[in-house]
Amino acid sequence: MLEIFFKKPLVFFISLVLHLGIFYVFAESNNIFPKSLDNKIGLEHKTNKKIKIQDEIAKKNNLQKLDLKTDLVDRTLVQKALKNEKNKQHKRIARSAKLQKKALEAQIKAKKAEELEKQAQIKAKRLQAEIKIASKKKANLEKIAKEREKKAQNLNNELKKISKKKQELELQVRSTQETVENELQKQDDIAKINDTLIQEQEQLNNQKEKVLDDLSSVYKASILAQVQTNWQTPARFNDNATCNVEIKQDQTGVILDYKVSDCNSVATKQFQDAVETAIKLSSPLPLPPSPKVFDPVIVFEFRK
Amino acid sequence: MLRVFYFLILLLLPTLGFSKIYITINESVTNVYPIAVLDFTGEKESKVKFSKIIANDMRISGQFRIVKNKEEIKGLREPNYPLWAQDKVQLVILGEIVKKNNSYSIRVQLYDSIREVKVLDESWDKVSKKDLRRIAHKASDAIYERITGVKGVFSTKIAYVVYNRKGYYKYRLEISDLDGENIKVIVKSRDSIRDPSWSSKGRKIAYSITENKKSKIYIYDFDTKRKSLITNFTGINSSPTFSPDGKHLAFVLSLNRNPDIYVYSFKTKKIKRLTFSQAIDTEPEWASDSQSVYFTSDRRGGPQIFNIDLEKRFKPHRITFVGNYNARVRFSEDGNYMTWINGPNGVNLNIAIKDLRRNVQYLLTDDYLAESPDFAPNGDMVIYSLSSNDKGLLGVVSVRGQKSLRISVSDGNIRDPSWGPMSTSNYVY
Repeated sequence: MLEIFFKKPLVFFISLVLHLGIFYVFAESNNIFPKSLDNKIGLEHKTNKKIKIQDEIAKKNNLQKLDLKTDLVDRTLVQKALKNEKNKQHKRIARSAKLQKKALEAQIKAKKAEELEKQAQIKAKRLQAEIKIASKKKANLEKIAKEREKKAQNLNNELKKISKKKQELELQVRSTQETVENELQKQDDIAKINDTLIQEQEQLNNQKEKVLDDLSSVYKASILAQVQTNWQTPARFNDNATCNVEIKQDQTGVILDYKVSDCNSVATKQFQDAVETAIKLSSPLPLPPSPKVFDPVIVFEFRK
Repeated sequence: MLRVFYFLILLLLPTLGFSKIYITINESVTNVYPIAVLDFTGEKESKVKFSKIIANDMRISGQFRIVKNKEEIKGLREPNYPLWAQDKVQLVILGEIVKKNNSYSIRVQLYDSIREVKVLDESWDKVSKKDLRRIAHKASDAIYERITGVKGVFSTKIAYVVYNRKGYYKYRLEISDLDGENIKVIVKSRDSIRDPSWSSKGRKIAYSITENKKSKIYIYDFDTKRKSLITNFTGINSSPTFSPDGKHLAFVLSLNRNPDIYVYSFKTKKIKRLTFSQAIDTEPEWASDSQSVYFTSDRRGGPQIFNIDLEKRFKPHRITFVGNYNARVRFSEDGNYMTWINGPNGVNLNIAIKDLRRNVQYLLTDDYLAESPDFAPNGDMVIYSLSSNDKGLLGVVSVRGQKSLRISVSDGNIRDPSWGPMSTSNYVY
């Protein structure tokens, strides 16, 4: 029970009320409760009627008793009359019970009406409170709107000022652009002149380089031919043998000094000897076709 | 600003020079080197012309040109580089022989007159008189190795067959030094001796011989100084050749009236037939790994060289295709070269060589009838026999194709030369 009460209190309450109601209806229909309870419920005119009826019944009972005492002869008539009276009483009791039921139903209706009234009152109060809050909000919104309007006015004023400044700046920019364009035009003209000069210089240089290259290749070929004739040996070399020799020569082609370097692992002692011999036999080297292509240092790469 | 900078750079560019010239020199020319061998001091007293022996060895190699010594050079005992250079002598050999008691001390020096340096200085002490020639060849070996980077073979031995119709024994199997000196007769016979072949260690020679009109194969052992019979079958028993690993002997037998290649195992003492062709299969030669045998066969018409695996893992396949006549192949010890008889039309037989690494083939000789080529153990030379004026001679030629030289070894017709292995230089035969 307690678990239901704690877990689902609403259900518990509703079921309790329903049980009580059922019990009440059952008790009322079977007159379980004393009448004093009815008085507590309440309608005075009904109780008065009941009292009157009870008084009448008591009077009648008294009359009956008096009749019994006084008139034993007419017992049968009296009994019949009593029976009739009893039937009437039963009927009256049934009527009164019906009336009580109706009264109870009226009470329940009245209670419900009261509850509805109370709920209506509560709702009305709530509505009033909400109306108050809404009115407050409305007032606030109106305040904010007013502030925004003020700000908008301020912004408009500022925008007007900025647009004025912008117009002034645009005028300045236009004037500077014009001056810059004029200067750029002048620079372009200068650059074009420079480009043509550079191109002409390049052409001249290319021509000079070509001539020098030709002379240089002739010089190299003459050196190569001379050294190649001396690059001979009876030794057997590995196909991948290689050594470098850097020589220094004077203006007459005489080899003043040489240095063998960067010989790989398969370049044997015999290979290095043959390289040195080829260099020695090649001195003096042929003279260059032009002094411009002469170089005092020559690096030879000897391969098998 | 940047444009102006570029402009200045361009203006300055022509004045800037490169600091070095770079030149690549390719492909050295193999050429004979001028070399002078001056008379050794004390060689007159020793009665062994050391300088002549060395000069002859250098000449036989085909790599050197012996410069005749002028009078002013002859007497030199110290290097005189300017004088040598003036005579265009690049290498000069000086030496001395000093007799101490009954032995000699020999010193050999090699000078490079171009680089003006002494490149070799070797000495031998306590040399007996009979060893003087051998030491002279050893000196030649040292000089050759210092100059070429390849071991010299002048102290190794050659074997060959001499035919002389005048004597009782018309055929002799001889061994000698390369210059024909120090001859030793191994076998002499009234009937034909052919195809001597050195074992890889130089202590045995196999040969075929006809005795009582029957051909046989023998092996002569230098240690026991005895010969042992290997085959004596009906028909042909010829061309014995030791395998490089010394485990087998290949030869030709005609057990089924047709010459085929057979292999004898020294371990199992069994003979195994390698070829089964109806054609003539002859002149076997071992591959350098001893795993296969090359031979001459006319199974495709003319004589061509074929190869067959010792374990018969592949069928015989032809390896020569240039010319109608290709026969008697031999391989260098390192397996880099093969040499054989080549005749474009079956005549004008010459010695051909193939560089197997570069797959280059060329002729080494221009003789009329060259036969039986065999490599020197260093692979630098090929010895062969040739006919000149109906006389058999030996020729030696460098594998680099210099002019071939004749060697006069013994009186008579000389043929079937076989160059002994490097180890033959270590023994006195």
